[in-house]
Amino acid sequence: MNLSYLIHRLGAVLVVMAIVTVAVFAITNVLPGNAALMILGENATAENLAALERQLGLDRPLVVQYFDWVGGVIRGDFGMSLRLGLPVSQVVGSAFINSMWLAGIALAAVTIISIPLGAVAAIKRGTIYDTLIGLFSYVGTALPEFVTATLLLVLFASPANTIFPAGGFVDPTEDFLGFLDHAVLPVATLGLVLMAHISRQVRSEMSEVLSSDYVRAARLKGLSERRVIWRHTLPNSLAPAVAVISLDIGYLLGGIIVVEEIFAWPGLGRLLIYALQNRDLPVIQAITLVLAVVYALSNLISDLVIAKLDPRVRYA
Amino acid sequence: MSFLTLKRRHVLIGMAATAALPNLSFAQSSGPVSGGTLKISHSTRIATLNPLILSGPAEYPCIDMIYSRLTRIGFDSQPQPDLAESWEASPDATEFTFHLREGVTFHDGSPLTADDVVATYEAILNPDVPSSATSVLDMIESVEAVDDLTVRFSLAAPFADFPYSTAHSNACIISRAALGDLTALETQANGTGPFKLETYDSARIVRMVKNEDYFVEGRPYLDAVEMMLFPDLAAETANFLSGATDVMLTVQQADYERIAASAGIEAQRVNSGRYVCVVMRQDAEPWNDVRVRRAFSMAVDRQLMVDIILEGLGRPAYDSIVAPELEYATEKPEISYDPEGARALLAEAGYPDGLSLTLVASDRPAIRSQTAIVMQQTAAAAGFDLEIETMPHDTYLANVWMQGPFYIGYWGMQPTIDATYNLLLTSDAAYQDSEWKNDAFDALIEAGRSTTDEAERARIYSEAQALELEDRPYIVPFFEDVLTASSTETHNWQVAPISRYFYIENVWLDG
Repeated sequence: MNLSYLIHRLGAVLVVMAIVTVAVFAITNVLPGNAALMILGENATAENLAALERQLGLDRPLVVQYFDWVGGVIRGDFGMSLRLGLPVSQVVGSAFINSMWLAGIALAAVTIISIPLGAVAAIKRGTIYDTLIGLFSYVGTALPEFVTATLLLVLFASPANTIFPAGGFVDPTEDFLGFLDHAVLPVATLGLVLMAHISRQVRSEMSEVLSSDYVRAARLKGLSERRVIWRHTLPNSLAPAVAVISLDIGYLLGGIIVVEEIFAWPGLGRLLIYALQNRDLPVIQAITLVLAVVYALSNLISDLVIAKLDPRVRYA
Repeated sequence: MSFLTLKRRHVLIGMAATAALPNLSFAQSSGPVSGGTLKISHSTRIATLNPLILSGPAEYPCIDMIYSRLTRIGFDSQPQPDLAESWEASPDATEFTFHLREGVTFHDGSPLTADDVVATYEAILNPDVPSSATSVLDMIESVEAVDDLTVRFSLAAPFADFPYSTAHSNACIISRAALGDLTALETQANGTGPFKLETYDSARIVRMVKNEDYFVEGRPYLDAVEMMLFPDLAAETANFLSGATDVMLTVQQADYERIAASAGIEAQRVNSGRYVCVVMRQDAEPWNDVRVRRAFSMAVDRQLMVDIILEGLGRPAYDSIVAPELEYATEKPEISYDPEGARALLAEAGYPDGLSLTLVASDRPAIRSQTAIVMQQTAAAAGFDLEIETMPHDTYLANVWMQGPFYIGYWGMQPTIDATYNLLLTSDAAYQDSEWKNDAFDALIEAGRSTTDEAERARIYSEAQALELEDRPYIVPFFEDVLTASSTETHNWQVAPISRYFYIENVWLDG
């Protein structure tokens, strides 16, 4: 782990971002229609359309539009949303915060629950606990989140049996309890799949460590079982789990798009769908960029954490 | 009330300014109370407040509160004074003079003058400024401020319905200063309406507060109005039924009965001229043959559609886009579902084995694809083998709308028969998508515009409607009712059949 490695990694992140923005820009422009047509909808006469395209700058060549946008981003200006008439930084910024609440709580809840769950399954290998946890993991991995979400809605938010709200969002700074109430179902949806991933990973890694020589040696030395597990086994089983968690952040960023749309959560995912439907290119670009950065950074951080957990790992 | 019986000629001669507005019949024992915040729920995003181009169902009530127009359509479907307290037309209907109210100010305190009206109309007519009202106002040749409170319009051709056009929902009067920055208009507002914009959060809430200086004495009653976005219908309904919101702007057909039956709720069903139509492009086979169009018309079971798609909350229509509510609308003969007759007519047109066609429907709103599916079922027996292609609305707009040979259209109600026909059916209509071009029809519409004689216009428009039925440019299966609901504590909540005018300054809440 040294400085040149860090610079190398950050440089790679920049290259990835450049590729991502070009790809998104090209793909969005292949879609039929543009923002001006989506704004006017069935009010679009040829003259109005031409005038609005001029006003939004959509009549310029694509290459000019792209580099104009890149120039703005380099100066820290993400431009204006074509559909909403607001600065992109403001629209995407508030959605980002809302999404981070959702993803953050989901990730925290999953980590707290699934690591002990996996550990218990490994320690009690072959018992009914192990089977139940295994079964739960298989079901969790097998169900896509739109199915889980619908099931949860039917079970906990049907009009006849409303335990949790069916959707919506309360600003946590205004009413934290109301916020948690609204967050339960979306977090549970995201969490089920992730929990399955992580607990399975912890279980298999820990099973392996438990049967390793040094654990046997520790036991023979007469250490208490508690000390064997908490001091010697668990920390050495966590590195793969951290790697999985960082991979799962990528999954989480995709998952919030579906989950936010189902639960009407005003975050990045919902905004991205809205922007796509309206061909709001500056917003689409900014969101993709944000997601790419979060993903790249979380990978970098997880590498650093793994190096810390396992001193044998060295990056050059 | 005398206002409700006013006829066009009175309106044309001009009318005295008055604070009385339509539908102020307070039958309640206690009179209106001032104060309170009205919470209106809606399910479509308010993406912009630019009054020149907005077209969202939840955006219209906002500009109806924030801005004023020269005239405004009342619940009786007639133009009422708004910023103009009176107006008069030259005898040949080519020159209109509007007299503005005295002492009107914008929300920022600056006075409204004839110059602002001129600036607004110049912007609407400017090809570089996108604006939706252009198509009903493009007969204006020039607009000038005679003095600070008088505006004169000269029209290129006679146009008797001009005071309806100045009431167009997108013809809000904007100050000359505000027109300098079109982008700012999307999120900021400086109008002359009963409410001032306070908070604009497109993703959650738009809040407007009382304009203390509103030009109608004693209005508005409410201290504030909040437009609250609920992207999820179930959440919207639950909040409304629990009393968290006072008004549900739009009720879905499927929910109407349940909501109407709930305690403390008053649901309203307003007959409207909103319709679904089948576009059959007539510059190519098979739709260039009127017999095929007539055959398809007989292959549609209108009552079944009203029952299934609208859950009974609408009326069958018989292939005319003119709503029965419009002035000069004629009674249309009933068209019954007749698959055998349709088959025979198809055979006569040269398709003895029937026709296989692809009918395109956008997925927004759902009513389009529902219509297509019911048509597919009933038309099969008549020899029309339809394949339904449902596509995302964005793709539909870009690839099919105004281009495709056979698709489902969906239009709101227009204020006049002239506006209705000029939108779609005249040869130079703004959204001519049927390629049905008929010189006799064009001449009739032209003639209807240029006369102010009631009897003459009635004759002309009845002929035009007869021509429409004869030629069947569109299949129009039904008119959809406008559905809305309010709590019993909310008084005077009303939606005009056109769903563009709301008169929220007259709404009050129990104290």
